[in-house]
Amino acid sequence: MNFDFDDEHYMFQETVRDTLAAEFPIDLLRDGGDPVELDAALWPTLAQIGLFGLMVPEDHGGLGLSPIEFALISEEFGAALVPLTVTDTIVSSLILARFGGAAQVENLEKLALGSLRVACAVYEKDGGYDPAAFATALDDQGRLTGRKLLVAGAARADLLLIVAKDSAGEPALALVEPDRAGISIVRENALDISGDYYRVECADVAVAPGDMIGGGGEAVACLLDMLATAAAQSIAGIGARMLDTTVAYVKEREQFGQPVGAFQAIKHRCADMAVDINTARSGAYYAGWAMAAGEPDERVRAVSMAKAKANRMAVHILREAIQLHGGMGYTWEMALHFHFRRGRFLETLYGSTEFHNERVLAGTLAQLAAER
Amino acid sequence: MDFNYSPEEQAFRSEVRAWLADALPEGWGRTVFEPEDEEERAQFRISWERKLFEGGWSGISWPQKYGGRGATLIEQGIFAEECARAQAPEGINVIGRNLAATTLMHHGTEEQRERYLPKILAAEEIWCQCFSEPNAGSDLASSRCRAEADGDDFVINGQKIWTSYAQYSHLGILLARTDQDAPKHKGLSFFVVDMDSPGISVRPLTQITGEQEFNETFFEDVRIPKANLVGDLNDGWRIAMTTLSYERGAEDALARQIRFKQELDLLIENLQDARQGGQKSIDDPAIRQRLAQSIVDLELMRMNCLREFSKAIKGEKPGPESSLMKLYWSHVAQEMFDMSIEVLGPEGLLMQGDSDAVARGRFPLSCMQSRAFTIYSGTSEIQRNIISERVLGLPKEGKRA
Repeated sequence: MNFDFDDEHYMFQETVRDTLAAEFPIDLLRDGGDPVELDAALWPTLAQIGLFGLMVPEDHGGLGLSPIEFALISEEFGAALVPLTVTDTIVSSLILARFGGAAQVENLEKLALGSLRVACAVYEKDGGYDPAAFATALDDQGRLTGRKLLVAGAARADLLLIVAKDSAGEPALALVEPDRAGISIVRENALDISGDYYRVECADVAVAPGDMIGGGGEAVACLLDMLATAAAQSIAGIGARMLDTTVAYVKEREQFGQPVGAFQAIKHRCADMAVDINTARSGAYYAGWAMAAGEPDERVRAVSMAKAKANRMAVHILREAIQLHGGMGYTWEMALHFHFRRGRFLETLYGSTEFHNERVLAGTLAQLAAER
Repeated sequence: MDFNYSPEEQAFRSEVRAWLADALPEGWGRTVFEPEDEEERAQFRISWERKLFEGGWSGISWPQKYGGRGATLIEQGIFAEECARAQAPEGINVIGRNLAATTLMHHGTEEQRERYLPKILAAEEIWCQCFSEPNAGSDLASSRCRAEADGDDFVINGQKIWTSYAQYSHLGILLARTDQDAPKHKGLSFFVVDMDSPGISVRPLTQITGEQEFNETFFEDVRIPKANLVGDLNDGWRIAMTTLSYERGAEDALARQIRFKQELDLLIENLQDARQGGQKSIDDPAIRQRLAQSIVDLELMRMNCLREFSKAIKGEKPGPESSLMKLYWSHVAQEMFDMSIEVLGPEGLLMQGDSDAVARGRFPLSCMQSRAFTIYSGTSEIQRNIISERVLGLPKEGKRA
């Protein structure tokens, strides 16, 4: 039993933090930079420090690390507002390594080098969060039809990882090139403006058996759980960054002859933020471990606990961060809204609090029944 | 990072489990319970602590030279989990083991450790904590209880309050003023006081539950030998901070987490059998959401503890960060107990002794008891001051015209 990271992983986290601070400052977004261009400039730097190979096995050219170590990196992605296409690509590498078999070796090697961008096409209008209720499906001729929402970076992706029911009606994963006949990609206007999102429409797209990733429903469950885990971790990073920003501001800002941070009405709220972030971190780190090493039941429970807590924390911290900056917090210039947008986006996209709560309760009842 | 237990840790767990099964009476927790009378219950708990000592389970993570097992905090945690699983009685010498002993290990002399620690382990001497005063609660540093040097003794005069278990205690840790002229934090000293000394009187206070755990304690010309001073004269505030960081720390929180989780499991079990209106209570989506929130909150309380344990094993000492844990658990536990009586419906309001009461009426009682969580060991407001000033570095409130 040990709930801590190794020193070398903290050092890697610092490297990533410093790199992002130097290469991807928020000023660029505030001054009207297009996230597509910013991402294009950032990508090679991230590839250079080996980030895209983080979870690619060493014999395929990666670092061979696990979702445990990714937790610290994912936090930094949240804090620095790294476009979600980066996370999607790294998460895809985990899924391809686990379920793709020999057919995916070449893709893994390219992923490790950062020369392959994968977009995860998961959610749908009227689909909610349960893949069993998604409409996108393959017919018995192997034709894929359906419409996916909020697919990060899809227009620039080399491959689309699409959650779709197979011809037997079971959730499965298809990996296809975006230029295949029948696929159309349209940019969306989404709440989060520090990344680019697309609607991906598939109309009778030919999918060969070789385009399907193995693992069926378990592969889909792992993908969704890993995306939710990464979201919970990024929310922890967003929370920590917002608290730092807020604390720095209330130390400086003076009213009634003293820094407003000296008033209990302010400082007590900062303390509550710190408590919430600390606990959300515990959950997010534990979910990372459960993704790496937990049995499926423990994984589902850990991920949903982490995401439910991260969601509540996100709403709380983002509300307070803007409020405690007063009128300045509501200005474009102060740029808090970028984190607000990204935080609420992650909160809602990868499973609502209610969805994850219900999974936790169902798991608990099953566990209690087994113990009886 | 690894949440799996090592073979040694698993073997330790099996050993604890087997011992508890043997030591507790047949039917314990199902048909046999603790005495309901408070005095009898206190005696029962003392005798349980002695049994733990005889079995070698007292002071699991204490160093071997003080009679402990020298085991890790993880094993201490496993022991607490197994006690909870067996619904073993709680101890009464919590202040002795968790506060007095840990403080003496940091700041006591070797003579003091040899004198006091073995008898804490053996539950031969029960301890209480004489810190708060009627006019020095949250503002603990303004304590006025005086200790004046007189020959080989200090002479104590003053009043303490909220002294839990003083009526059963042999010894107390005492914060008293030894320099009237120094700034308030710099004139306090830390003592061990024999609670049987002439001049000490203890008056029980009745709590909102009707129970009488805590007391007012009066000191009138009470003589304490100078050898009972812990640490340096006028260095008591710093030492008391050590005591408080343990009181708010992960070891304390983990043991509580296990008890809270048991109560939540019991609540869920009762809701599975209960009906409200036309449906089973456990099928009500609103109730399911509230239960899930508490499950998450309490599981993450455990995760917070384990993270702190891992830091402590790496050698980090508990500091102001322990307030993060205490502020968190006190509120989520209170919310859980608030929720418990609401989701049970009308019968949730029946208390112990009523034949229709749910789970012997423990939820409304726990709901009342949980009011104390956000007050003792420093109110939530004090924890927020500590976090904001000492963890986040925000300025102290200024003295404005």
